[in-house]
Amino acid sequence: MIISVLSGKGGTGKTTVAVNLALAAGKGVYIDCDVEEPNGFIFLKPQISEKTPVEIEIPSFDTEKCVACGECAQKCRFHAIALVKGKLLFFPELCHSCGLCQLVCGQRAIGKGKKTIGMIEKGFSGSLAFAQGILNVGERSGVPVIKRLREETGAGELIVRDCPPGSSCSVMEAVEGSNYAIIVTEPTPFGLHDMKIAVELLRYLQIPFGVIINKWGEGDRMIEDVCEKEGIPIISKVPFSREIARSYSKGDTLENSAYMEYFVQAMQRIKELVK
Amino acid sequence: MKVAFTVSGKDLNAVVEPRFGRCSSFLVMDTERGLYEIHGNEGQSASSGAGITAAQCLVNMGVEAVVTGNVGPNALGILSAAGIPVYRGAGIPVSEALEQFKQGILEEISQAVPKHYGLNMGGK
Repeated sequence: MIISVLSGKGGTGKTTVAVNLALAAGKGVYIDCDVEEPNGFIFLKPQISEKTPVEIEIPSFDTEKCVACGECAQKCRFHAIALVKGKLLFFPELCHSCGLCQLVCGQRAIGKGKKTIGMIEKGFSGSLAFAQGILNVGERSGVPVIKRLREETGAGELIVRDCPPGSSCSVMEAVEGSNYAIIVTEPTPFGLHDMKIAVELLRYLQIPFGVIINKWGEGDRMIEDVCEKEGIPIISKVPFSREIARSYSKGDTLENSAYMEYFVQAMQRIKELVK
Repeated sequence: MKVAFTVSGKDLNAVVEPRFGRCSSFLVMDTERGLYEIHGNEGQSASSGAGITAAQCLVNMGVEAVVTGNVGPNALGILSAAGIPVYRGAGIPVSEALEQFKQGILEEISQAVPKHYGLNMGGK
């Protein structure tokens, strides 16, 4: 079973929920798909045993065969190639690996090259398997790294995917193939606004989902009202607590605190809903 | 000699825009004949590679010098490869910048600003 944890808004508590849900499950896999800024490792402190670079395909130009016709520069819709004074200039950070330049080159002067854009790290945190993707600074998109993470972690066991914030291509890639998704939100206008975007995204992708309200307090009805109206199950309401904030700021999980009960129950609830 | 100015207006009173890749248009002046043309900047609406698009257009037009405010690393790479010098002359009308260009007192830009430097300037 694959459970994806996303939020729309950043800072609502995705990592807190994903890490503690995985711990509540006891056995399984935690995957940090927030490849631009993975931070689950701070809490799980895994022993990394395997590191694999992630490569993407980029064109390689054969200057002997190139006749400087400019066809590739003209056709590249990402403006990754320029032609200046009979010389091609290639800007790899703009390349989307679409391969169009290879197709349009009449001289067959463009071949396949490779570029490393990030890394996948795997290991263990106690009985929990751990994997994370790291995108190199300055790279255009984390999608290829997330895709590799998904491919390499299988689907058999219980998998918790900690997704990136927002609702971009990276998020879509991270939730792909999930059996269930959790939107972590907070009772603020921003939390509500971005939750609605995440709801729209998951409905479009036809992934069943529920909401965990984090930093919840008595009287904060704004999220509950919308969920009731829309028929969205509320999996848990984790209260606003200085104790949780303190352990987070120290890089500790909630494993040995009374708050762990919220995640144990949330996990049970999710398992019932996925059945 | 063909000199391109980054502008949002349509004549010599237009103020030179500080942005290169995302400027509205280029005023291209033929200094020998004293005639100019306005060319829309395809880079303005490009989803990525705005500076590259703009610089490539100017190279294709046979421009020999550029007067703007700031220029990014990719665009500057193309312009220098093409041997086109870039001068700083933003915030003053084209007529004035042209005069200063002819007198040779405009500062030549050799250092690019960071990528996407001008992205938020349109809203100000």
